[in-house]
Amino acid sequence: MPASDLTAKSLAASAGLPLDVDLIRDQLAAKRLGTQFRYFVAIDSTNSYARRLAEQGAAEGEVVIAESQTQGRGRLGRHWVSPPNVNLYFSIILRPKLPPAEAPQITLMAAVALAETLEWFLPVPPVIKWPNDILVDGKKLAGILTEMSCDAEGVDYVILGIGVNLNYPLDLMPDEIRQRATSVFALSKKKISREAFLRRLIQDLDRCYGEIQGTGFAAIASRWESYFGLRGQRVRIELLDQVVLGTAQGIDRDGALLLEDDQGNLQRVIAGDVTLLE
Amino acid sequence: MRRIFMLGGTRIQRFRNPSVVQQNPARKAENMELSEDDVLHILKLIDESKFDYFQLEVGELKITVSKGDPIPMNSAPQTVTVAPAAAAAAAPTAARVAPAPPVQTQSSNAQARAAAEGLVSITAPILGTFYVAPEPGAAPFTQVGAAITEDTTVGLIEVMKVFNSVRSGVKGTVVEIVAQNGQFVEYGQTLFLVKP
Repeated sequence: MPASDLTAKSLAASAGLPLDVDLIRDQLAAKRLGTQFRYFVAIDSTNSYARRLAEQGAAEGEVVIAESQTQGRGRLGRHWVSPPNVNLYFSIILRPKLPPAEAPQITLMAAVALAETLEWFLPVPPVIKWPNDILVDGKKLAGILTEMSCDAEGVDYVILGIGVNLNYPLDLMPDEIRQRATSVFALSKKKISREAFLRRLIQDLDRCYGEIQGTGFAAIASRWESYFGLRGQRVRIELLDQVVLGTAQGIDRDGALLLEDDQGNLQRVIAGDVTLLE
Repeated sequence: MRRIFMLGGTRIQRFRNPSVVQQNPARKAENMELSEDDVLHILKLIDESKFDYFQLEVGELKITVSKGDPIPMNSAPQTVTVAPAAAAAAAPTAARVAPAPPVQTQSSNAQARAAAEGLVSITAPILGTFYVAPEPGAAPFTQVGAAITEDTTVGLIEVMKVFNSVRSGVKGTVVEIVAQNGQFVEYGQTLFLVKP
């Protein structure tokens, strides 16, 4: 039997029951998010589906959730491994009243909400890598893919796509991600209720999103900084064909990464991959 | 929102809300001297430009001009955008006082062509990194000669890992792809020219 078939069998054995969406919905205490749930056993990508819904006029707060994704995506088309019934893959439609230039605040807000939810389920606090990856011990636990449609006047919609490795055993992860990824189960040694996790996460997202829309980004930015793992660390910013080295200082009021370069200049970074220099 | 461009040893920042002028005393640099007339000339150029904030640094010489609220001197003027290399590579190496950044020049040429030939520009709705395809190696959203409608997605702009679809907004045929894949683009910069 090929290794991939063995992995599939083991995954099926370790996977829990399908999500009970009613259990999430019935006890959800959220004002804006989770107004409607669309649940799929398998889908190409929850973000792609949510975008199609938003294009057709779907309201803010609709959640698209799938047990597995055949074309789960990360940034720039990177594949997001999406095995069934162990993790969470979902997308939320937002229609924020923000100028397009401030929409990146949404993705930092989502990272804060994710970190706050994860703290309830983890033995150690998670770390945020700018702008929105969630790590523990340098390994990725959750990812956010934010897609937006806007014009010069304002934001039409934002699709907030989130993938969280929950009950995913390390030994069943594909080799190519095992060195770089982890899961709540791997860290806590406990299987957790995906419904309880998602309900809390939607509530935390709802609360943080309400803060941005209400009092602005400052409070979120300060909590983001409290999870920021690279402050004072030497990092490398990789752009398309340029590399900048320096010491990470935090974020500014727009969410841009502040970096002190080797010449002592404070630089403002709005693009690029950030990695910790050993 | 701050817009900052690095031109050789010169940093230029643009802010959105102008109202006040603030000037640091110009100091004589070893390799560059500015007379009072020079400074007045610079002020006049900035005043006539669409920039709200300007900073020139050459050696020890530093001039900061703002048409906006006073800039907090301990932070903003020292910050520099790390723009992707495409924009930086297009910058001239010598320090210059001209207010228009190079990425805008490219856009201006396109606007001139648009006006002369009756073309319509598709412009960037947000600043960030421009991509012509949904992912590296994938087929581009559109190409020269392609027929597009108002709702056609023609590109992507990424800023802080947020991916913004660029919608055509115009029906016609793509005549020119003005911005390069991976280029840092400014808000309002021309990305495509379309013949309606």
